[in-house]
Amino acid sequence: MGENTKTNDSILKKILSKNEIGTLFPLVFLCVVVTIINPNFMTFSNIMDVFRTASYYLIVGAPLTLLLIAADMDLSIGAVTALGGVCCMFAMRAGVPMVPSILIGLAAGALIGIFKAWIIVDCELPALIVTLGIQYAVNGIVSITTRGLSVSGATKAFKVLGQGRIFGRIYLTVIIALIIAIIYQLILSKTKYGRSLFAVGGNPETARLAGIPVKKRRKEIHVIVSVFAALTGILMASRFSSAQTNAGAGTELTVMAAAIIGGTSLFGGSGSVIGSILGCVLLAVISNGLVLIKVDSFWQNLIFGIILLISVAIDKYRQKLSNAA
Amino acid sequence: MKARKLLAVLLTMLLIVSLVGCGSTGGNNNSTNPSSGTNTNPSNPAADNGSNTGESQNIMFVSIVTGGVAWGSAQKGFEDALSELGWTGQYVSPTKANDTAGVIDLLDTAVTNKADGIITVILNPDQATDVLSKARAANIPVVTCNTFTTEELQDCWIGTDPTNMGITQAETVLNLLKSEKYSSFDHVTACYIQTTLQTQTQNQQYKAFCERIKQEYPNATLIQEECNSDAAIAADKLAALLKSYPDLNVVVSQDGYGCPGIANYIESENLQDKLIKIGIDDSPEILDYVSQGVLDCTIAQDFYKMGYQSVYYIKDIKDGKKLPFDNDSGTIVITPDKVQEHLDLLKSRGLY
Repeated sequence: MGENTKTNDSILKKILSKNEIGTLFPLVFLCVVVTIINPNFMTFSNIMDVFRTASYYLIVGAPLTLLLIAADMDLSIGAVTALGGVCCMFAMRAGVPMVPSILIGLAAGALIGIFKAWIIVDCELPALIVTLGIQYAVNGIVSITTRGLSVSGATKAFKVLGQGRIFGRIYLTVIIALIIAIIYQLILSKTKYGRSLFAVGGNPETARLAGIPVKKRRKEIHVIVSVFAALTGILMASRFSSAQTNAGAGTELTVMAAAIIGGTSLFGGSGSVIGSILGCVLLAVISNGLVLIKVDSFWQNLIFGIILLISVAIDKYRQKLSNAA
Repeated sequence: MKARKLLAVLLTMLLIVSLVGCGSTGGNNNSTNPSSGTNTNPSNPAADNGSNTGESQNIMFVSIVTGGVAWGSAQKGFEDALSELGWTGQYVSPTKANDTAGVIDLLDTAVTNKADGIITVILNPDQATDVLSKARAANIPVVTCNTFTTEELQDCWIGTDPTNMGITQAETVLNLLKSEKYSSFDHVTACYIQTTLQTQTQNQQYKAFCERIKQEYPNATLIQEECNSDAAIAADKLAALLKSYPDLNVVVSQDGYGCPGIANYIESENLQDKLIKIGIDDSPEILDYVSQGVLDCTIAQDFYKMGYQSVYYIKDIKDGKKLPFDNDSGTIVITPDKVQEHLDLLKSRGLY
């Protein structure tokens, strides 16, 4: 009897110790409820729509998870998203071929990332204010160069990136996002590099004493986040055949929320990309599901907020149970 | 330490470059310190403005956003009218779009600096009561664009009449339902995707739209949604609505940023013949979707006229003329055959 209880406790502890479980419960529950009310939710085309929405969050959400694990943050993601798309489309409109245009967009993101990393890490200024300042400055650059107008001129080949489907059904962006997420999860869980990020976020001083180049790691990950934010902007420009000047506005908070819901600690040292995938999908399911079950538009924001709070509460409860077990 | 010194030097240089760049976009008449804005100092300030005031006036346009299809056109109209009259002026807006408190702060600055006239956009009339009362006390004429408060607080307003706009959208839908292309449609299930559900004028438009549609189709299903000026959200909402309401056959866009997202989704899913699609505004991108037949038409608000006419209203007020409080700037329904004509009009105004 005693042994059985011990085994059960051990299984429970194993299950509850997974950060992702806290997101999985509300996600599955929500999917079941929405499907019961409107079976159209589970149609392949709707699932693809949900994944497509989630994919844009995930492309930047995966590297952002690593940044959060390293106990850093970035509020300039949305602005860099707009900048990446705008730079790419300006280049394309000027006759630059597709691949170099994409590289120009990514380079714009990298430049912002390098500048941001230098101020935060080398000048030791707080990431919150620095990235907020960069958000304003980059939004300003986008407004000045575009006069607030979208930048069109996408070529047919370029449109395939954001609009194309594999086997005529699965959006290419979903595949891109999944590949990126898998790569980042592998880096995080299977490599020395990933483990060093946990150490940097957990206790930077100990990490430094253990020989981990803390500053270098933080800089690298800041640049990577900006590059992937720019990539998100490029894919959005491809999806809409034009770069929208407000593309990505507010994305930073949505993506951070997705990562935190997925079990990543805002204070660093723990988290997983799998959790962020579930967090991104959960957010996409909520916005899609509320429309599908015909919730009055005036009530949608309230319900959205409540579901998010419940998800966080479930995760907290899970942690408590996990510790107790 | 070395890095911080370098950062200080770099940021100082960037600030200087920004200020030089900012100054080069307009003249040197700058009596205020706006969050973002453009000075306008016409090349012929001595031009006869025909006003009883007999001297150049400094007009402040306190807007909700700088640039973009709509307010970029209003700014151009404002600047053209100032240039014609030989007046000076400044177009300003808060750093964050649609920041109503930021608009009030800028209005306060305009009143304190004794602007000769104020043109503004008031999204929340309650917030503006105090500052507009101060403008009244200082005898500064106030004209609002596309929004309004009360006759006690301002002289007049010009913009798209919300009720007329809603009726125009409804009648455009009803006319399309009678067309050969959509003759098989025997019901109306329409979604109306606007900026936010808190936008007062858009809610008035939606109400008028619903009332007109219900007159012809009493059993019509009408759904109101918001897209927060985000093309991706607009597209995702339409995708979900199509699953939720499989008989959806009308989509009306009421947001210039969301409209391309809707059009893009319709094009990618080949829904051109399954939906009646009404766009909004007249950006080249939206006009392109109309000319390709992705959108049946777009309804353009005349923002250029709002900016342009507002300046002349200030002049009329200063000349002692009595103006009607409500002034409808009208709407233009642009169908595929009228796209080129409209583009020519925009080009003649120096837009795009």
